Amino acid sequence: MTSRRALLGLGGLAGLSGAAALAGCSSDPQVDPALGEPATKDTRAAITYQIWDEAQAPAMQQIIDAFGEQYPGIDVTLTVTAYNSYFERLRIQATGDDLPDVFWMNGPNFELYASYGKLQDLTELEGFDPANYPENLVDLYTYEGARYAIPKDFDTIGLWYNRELLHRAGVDEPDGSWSWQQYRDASEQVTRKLAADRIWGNPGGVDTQAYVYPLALQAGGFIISKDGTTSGYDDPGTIEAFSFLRGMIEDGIAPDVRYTTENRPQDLFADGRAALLPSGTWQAAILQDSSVKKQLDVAPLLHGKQEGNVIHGIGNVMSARSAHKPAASAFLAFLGSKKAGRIQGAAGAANPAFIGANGAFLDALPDFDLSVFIDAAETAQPYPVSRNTSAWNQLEELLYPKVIGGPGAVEENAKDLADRMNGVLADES
Amino acid sequence: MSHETAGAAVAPPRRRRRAEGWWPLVFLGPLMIGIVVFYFWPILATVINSFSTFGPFGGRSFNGLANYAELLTDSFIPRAILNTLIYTLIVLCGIPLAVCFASLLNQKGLRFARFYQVLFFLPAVSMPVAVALVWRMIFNKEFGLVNWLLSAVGIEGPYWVTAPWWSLLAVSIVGLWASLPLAIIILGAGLRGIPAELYEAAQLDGAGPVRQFFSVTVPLLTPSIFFLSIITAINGFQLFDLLFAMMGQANPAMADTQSLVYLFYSEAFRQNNQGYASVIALLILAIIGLFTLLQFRLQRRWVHYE
Amino acid sequence: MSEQTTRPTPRPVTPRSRPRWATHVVLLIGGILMVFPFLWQINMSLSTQAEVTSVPPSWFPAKPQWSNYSAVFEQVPFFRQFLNTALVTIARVIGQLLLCALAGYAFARMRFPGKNILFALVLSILMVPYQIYLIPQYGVIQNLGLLNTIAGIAAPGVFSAFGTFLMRQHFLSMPASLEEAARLDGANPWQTFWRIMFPLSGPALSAVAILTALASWNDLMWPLIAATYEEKTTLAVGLTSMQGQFTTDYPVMMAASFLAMLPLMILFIVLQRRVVEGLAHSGMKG
Repeated sequence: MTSRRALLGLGGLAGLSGAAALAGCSSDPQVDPALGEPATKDTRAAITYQIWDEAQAPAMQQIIDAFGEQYPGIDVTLTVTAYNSYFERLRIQATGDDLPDVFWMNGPNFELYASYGKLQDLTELEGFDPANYPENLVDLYTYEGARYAIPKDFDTIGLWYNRELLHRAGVDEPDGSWSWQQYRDASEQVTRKLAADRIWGNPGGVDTQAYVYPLALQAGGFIISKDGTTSGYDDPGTIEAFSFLRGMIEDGIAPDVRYTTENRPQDLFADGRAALLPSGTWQAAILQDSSVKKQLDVAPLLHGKQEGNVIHGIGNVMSARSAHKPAASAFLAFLGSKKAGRIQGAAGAANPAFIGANGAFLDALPDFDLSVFIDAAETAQPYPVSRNTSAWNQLEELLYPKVIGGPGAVEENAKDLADRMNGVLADES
Repeated sequence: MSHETAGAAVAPPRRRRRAEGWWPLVFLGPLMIGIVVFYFWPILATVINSFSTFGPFGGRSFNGLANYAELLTDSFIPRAILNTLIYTLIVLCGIPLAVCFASLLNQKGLRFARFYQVLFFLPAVSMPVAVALVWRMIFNKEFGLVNWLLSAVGIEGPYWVTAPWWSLLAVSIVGLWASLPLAIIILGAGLRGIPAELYEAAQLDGAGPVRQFFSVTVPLLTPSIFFLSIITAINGFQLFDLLFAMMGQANPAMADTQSLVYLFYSEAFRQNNQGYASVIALLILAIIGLFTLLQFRLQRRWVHYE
Repeated sequence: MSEQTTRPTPRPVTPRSRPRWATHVVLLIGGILMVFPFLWQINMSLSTQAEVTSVPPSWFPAKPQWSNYSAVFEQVPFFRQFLNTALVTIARVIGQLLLCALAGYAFARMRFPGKNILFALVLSILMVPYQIYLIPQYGVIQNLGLLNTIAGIAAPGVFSAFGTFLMRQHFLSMPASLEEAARLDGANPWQTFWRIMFPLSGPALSAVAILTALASWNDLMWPLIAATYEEKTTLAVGLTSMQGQFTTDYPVMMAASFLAMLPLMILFIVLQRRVVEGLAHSGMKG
């Protein structure tokens, strides 16, 4: 009698130990470096695909649906995590051996994950021919001779503008030849003329890839030295770019960093409250839902002492610990196919990395002259990375507002950023 | 305790022992397993972690007192302690306000009391994250209500959410607002415990409502107030949700506004510095312990027990 | 007024009616200030983006935008997160009611060696800030294979020192005669507990249930790390991610955050007295 009741009372305990036993077999599989046999039409599996851009989710779902026609037994769940917590969560997932089977990776975070064996080596993946993608994107995701990602897309930076607002302020549309001064003058005229409507010439901001990086390159500066050991933040060229941005804030042409923390530049632009927005290819997918979509277009970026633009591309990767590698392999190969490239291009989601699949993207959003981004790729430089890029990216996030918005002189604050970044870089080796 | 001895007198001890036997284990076992796994072990693990360093994806190695040394040189720590203290102090300022509202709400025969209760207690059941998003809008520099009201009297409002000090003030005001309902409820329970005769006696002495409030209500409420101030302070030291949701992560004022718990979160889960985060967690424990001790020491000076 | 009937001593004439009137004015102003953020939230949730960001503020939407509410369900897996939050809350409430009542009963009514030390140890948990537990709890949940599961989000919150404390206080206050009668009828401790003591514990159980439900529904930090997939996490986490999207749609965000709070608000208005009693108990914490 007693013992049976005791057993009942200990039900919670039994449940716990049962779960522990389960965990014993599931949480500790030996990492098998081999990809194994690829999936077949009859393979049954459920895998997860994690991305960070809500605006691209519909296109990704279309790709998953097309994949499902070929592999009806493989169930792919799409999960979207907001970009600003994506890599924080990815780190938690990796620490807990709980990574999604297939997920988006970017340049800054790639080496860290590859060097710690978190990513599956895809060199041998059936259907992954590096010749199908731009070489610099394949190189971006190559670590110690092995390829870990299939390039998904590529993006460069252009100058988005609102025709209507420029017109109201009496400013000509950017024709692709604008110098920094013309950009500043145009911004000033819009800000001053349309101040009553709380409309800005440009919405300012502290964006790295879309704003500071290209301007620094155009002024002859750099972000990180070619060998990846030295910060370029104390370079006169980089400082010139910072000073240019600081000058517009100080003269009331662009909103200051406290303002843009509350009202993000891309929101201001999408809401029709800013006329000029230097930003990347990815804005196309976002802006096609804008209420002022009809007033928007894009022109080539500004021109400084020299040409400067940044090219980057998202890579699709597989977790090294995926429990469904055959299914994940089949899905990855499909993601890297021309067909998938066309789907995401035609949906206006992103500019496919697959060479020759751009056509669909160019025609997808006839309102926007997207060829600007493809032309920019010719002279663009690769996104600056080192082994542990995210460590100094956090310094940028922390200190850019101070460098660009004050207090303190631009030179001193930039020097501080450079010193701290050099410290982080020294820890890498 | 007293019923047990009474029970023991009725039932013979031997029979009693047989009756209970392993029963305490059956009753306590399920809870204790969870408590050991989810609470006792983590405390021990935190102490061990505080002497360790972690790789980017876990993997512990012993690094002696290095994390503790880092604590001493980290310039964010004193600022975070200061911020947490300021926040706590401002939220504590809500107690006098709560005393007033509680005594109004608990007047005998107050009409619409239930209606007022709904108004005053609603924030107590609301989700801090959701509420923080609303307040963030109300405090917006450009289109927020607060600055619109200020502009009506000719003041140009500050950046409440993105400027150092102002952001701390804004978060504290919201914290105060959120802490009022619980404070009013607890003080209300204390008020109902004050015997009516005391008011009658004061009235006979010719004391008006205001005199009564200060000579009867406040002194007799001091045990509740004391209790409340401890809870408020402990909650104040746990500031995280409001800050996290009101300010967002990439906020230029964050370095000057972050609380100890935010710093803990950022070290543990953003910078992946779990060893150092464990030291910060232990520091929070030490501060709360010290504060509680201090409060109990000081209470003799001002708390009236009957 | 009723005051005069309850208090035999007549008060001086002048301060009688004026304070009554003043009381209502003060309470009304204070009360409206307290609920104002919720009213403003509803206003914004029915406005357009342009209305939300307009200067001066728009006090009423020109045309209520109900579509903002349907957009909530399109933009985030709101329904899934709602369900997750509800399941986690239910699991915690049921778990705590059972475990805390059992343990509270044992601490209050049973005699066994080391009882007081054990109880003091359990209570000591309340003195420790919860951040201490986070990282190791993550490790435990990971080892149990429960990351990103309802069970994993719920598990640590099922075991509560405070709930045990409340239940112990309650059982201590119950008369011993009840148990004695049952014991004389030959009931064993489980039968005594389950048939007699547990059914008489309504108020204490409801206090534990309400406090647990509030804490569980509104919890942010633990689900933030224990459940990293949007479909598998809770509403509180979902709301913070909405804020981090590339574009900010204020009205939809307001609609989502209002919907996230609505269930507990309704619960509060329906069970007002119980909830207030439950909250009063939380004063014993600390």
